[in-house]
Amino acid sequence: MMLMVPLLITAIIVISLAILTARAVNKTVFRKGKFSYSQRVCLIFSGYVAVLLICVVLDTVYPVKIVNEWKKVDTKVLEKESIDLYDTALAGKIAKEGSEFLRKKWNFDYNGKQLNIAAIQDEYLNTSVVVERKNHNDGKIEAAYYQTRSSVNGMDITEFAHPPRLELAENGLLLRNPKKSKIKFSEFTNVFSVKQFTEEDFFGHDSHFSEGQSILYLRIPKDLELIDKTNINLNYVE
Amino acid sequence: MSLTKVSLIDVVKKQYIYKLKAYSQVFMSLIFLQLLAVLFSMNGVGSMGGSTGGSVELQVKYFSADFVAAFTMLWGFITAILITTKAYRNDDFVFVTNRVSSNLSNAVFLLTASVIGGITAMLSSYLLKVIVYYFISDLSIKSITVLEAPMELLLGIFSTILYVFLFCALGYLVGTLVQISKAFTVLLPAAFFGTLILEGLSGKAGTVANVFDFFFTESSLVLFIVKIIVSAGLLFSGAFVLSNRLEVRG
Amino acid sequence: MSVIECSGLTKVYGGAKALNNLSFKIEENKITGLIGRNGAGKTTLLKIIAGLLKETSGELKVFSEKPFNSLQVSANVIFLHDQMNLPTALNLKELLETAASFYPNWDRELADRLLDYFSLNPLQHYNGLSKGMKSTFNMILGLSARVPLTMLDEPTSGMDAAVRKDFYRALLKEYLAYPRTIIISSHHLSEIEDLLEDILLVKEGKEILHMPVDILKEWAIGLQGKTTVIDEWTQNTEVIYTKSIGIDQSYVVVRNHFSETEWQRARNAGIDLTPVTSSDLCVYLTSKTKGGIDDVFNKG
Repeated sequence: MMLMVPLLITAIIVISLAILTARAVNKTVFRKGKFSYSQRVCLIFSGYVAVLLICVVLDTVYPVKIVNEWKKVDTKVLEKESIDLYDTALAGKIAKEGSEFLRKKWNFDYNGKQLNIAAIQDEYLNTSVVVERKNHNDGKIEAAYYQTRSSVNGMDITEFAHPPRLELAENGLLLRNPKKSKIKFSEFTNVFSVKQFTEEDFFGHDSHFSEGQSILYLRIPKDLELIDKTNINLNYVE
Repeated sequence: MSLTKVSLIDVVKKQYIYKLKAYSQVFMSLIFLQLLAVLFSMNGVGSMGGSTGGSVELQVKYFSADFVAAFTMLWGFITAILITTKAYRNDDFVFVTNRVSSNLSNAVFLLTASVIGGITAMLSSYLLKVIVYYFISDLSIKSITVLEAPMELLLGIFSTILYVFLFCALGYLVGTLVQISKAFTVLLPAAFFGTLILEGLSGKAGTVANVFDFFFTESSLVLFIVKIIVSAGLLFSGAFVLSNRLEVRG
Repeated sequence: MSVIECSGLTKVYGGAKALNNLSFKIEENKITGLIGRNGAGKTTLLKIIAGLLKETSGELKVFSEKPFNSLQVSANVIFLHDQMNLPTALNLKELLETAASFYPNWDRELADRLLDYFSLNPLQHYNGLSKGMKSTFNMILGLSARVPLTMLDEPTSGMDAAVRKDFYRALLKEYLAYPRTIIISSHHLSEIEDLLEDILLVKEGKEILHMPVDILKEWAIGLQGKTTVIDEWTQNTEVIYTKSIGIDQSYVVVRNHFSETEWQRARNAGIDLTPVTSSDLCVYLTSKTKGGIDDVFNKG
């Protein structure tokens, strides 16, 4: 109900504007001319309706372009993909079963016994990190980034998603969220008086935005100890 | 000179035509308010944002004629109150009228105004579309043209007309009450805002919220029509009865 | 048939009685003048007859119906006054067209010609008119409508003398061509005397007299002469008005129920007999005191 307050203030402003317009309009009543006041109103109003109808025609003849270069996807399929990827990652089978979602690979040489692993500037890492211990100590760390498809309103926008940035520095392995890519859309929806009957969500809108599942899969030497400096929440493969 | 006999329907018809001309300034305020609403809607009536893996920042702006419809409902309310004020109400008494015919012709006028308001409100969503598409951003993910969904447009027009008419009925009753006693100018807003505040404080869903739900969440079209017609009918009847004994002063 | 029948009509306005037990009857197709001081209740009476106000008590029937909230009465009565609410959005031409749609007897040509004659611009709006022009327009509305009961409240207010003359002439011509019941309330009784058939004189919400104009002219008589002589003569009569002239002369107005011979004797006694104009008579009858304004200055 606290929403009501700004609404009411807007209502009051609108009402005052309407009253002021009415007064201003009344003052122009005494203009001389061939047309009477009500005829003038009729003309102006017809002009307004004409403009509206032109817009309707415009919209029909040159409809608003929907970004349709993007593939259509089924959100349910995407959901399943995400869940499956996570499971296979934890089961260690991601290399085989998640190969279609492989986005980027890194290879690092590291011979130390311990490795700090941290997210730069303590930021919250948006990907899940899954660590697999190899069977031997080969001094190599392999990192692979997997991500399932993302979509908005049933359209694939995976191409806009970038992998995170990895850097092996003196004090450890630094992880960093990727640079953000911004996309803006406009969506034209129905008026509330229509939505209440077509069973669309009343206050919400029916855009569906689903993120994919992103996983950073690290394969580390058998005895390497990872020290989680920034609470990344590492998951180890059994 | 022989007396003329008149029938109520006849007088109401003549008054209605008279009022279409005499009250024409309300249609100027309609245009103004609707254009204002389109202006307000240009920044989107809602938005959604999100990120994928932190790397995609998505912003979706929603555009619809929601604001225009709401402003039109407000306009209906104001117009109805306006025509109950002395300056307008007494316009009838120079010619042939009685209180019943005056009220009836007012109601028919308000119905006409609702129809005009509802149609223009729905059509303005196309105006908004054109403005946004050609001048603001041509990246769109969803848009429905008239040809694709003509029934939705008609549905929108019909239901918006009903909403505006309901607000007209409410405004007419409020205006009539104020004409009966100036005290209502203070009493009614006080009662309305008081209820709102009390309900807001107590946290429970109160009368205002219930009334809101009663109409705005009704998903059956038939029920909706019945609700509106009955409510508007009651409000108008109340106003008719109350104004029957009003004298023409000043 | 009585067009208006009124008995015991009372109207209370916020504690004060605007009309106090008023009773009269007005017959069909007569021009009646409703005369009285400001605040005597003339406008209130006309508003009640037109159905704009409701009486507090008493009975009023117009065309055998109660006028308040009656469609039939409204269709056969037109009431024009200077506080009429005409919509601001319509110009004069449109107003006349509206009147044409409501009144079946409307004479379009007459209205247009009158509008033209009085140099009113049809594209102008009512609010923009001066007081005199508003009254002129009201008159055009009233005359062209040819409504069975036409009521005009101070129809000449603001009009200049030339327009007033034209108005009376137009009214008479219309009345003669299409007879109807007309009630005019006016301050200028002397001007409209010749126009009127009956006079209804009202004082403080009550009717004082209601009679044809020619009878009213003979109703009272003015006596002027030596104060002592006058006093003697008017001992047993009700004096309507007294005025002192000079030191020992006075002028009185009394009811004229003396015979011809009695008047002859009065003249022999040195009394001047003069007729009293209806206009003066009405002023005297409706005044609060028996004297005049001079008394205010004398007593002070």
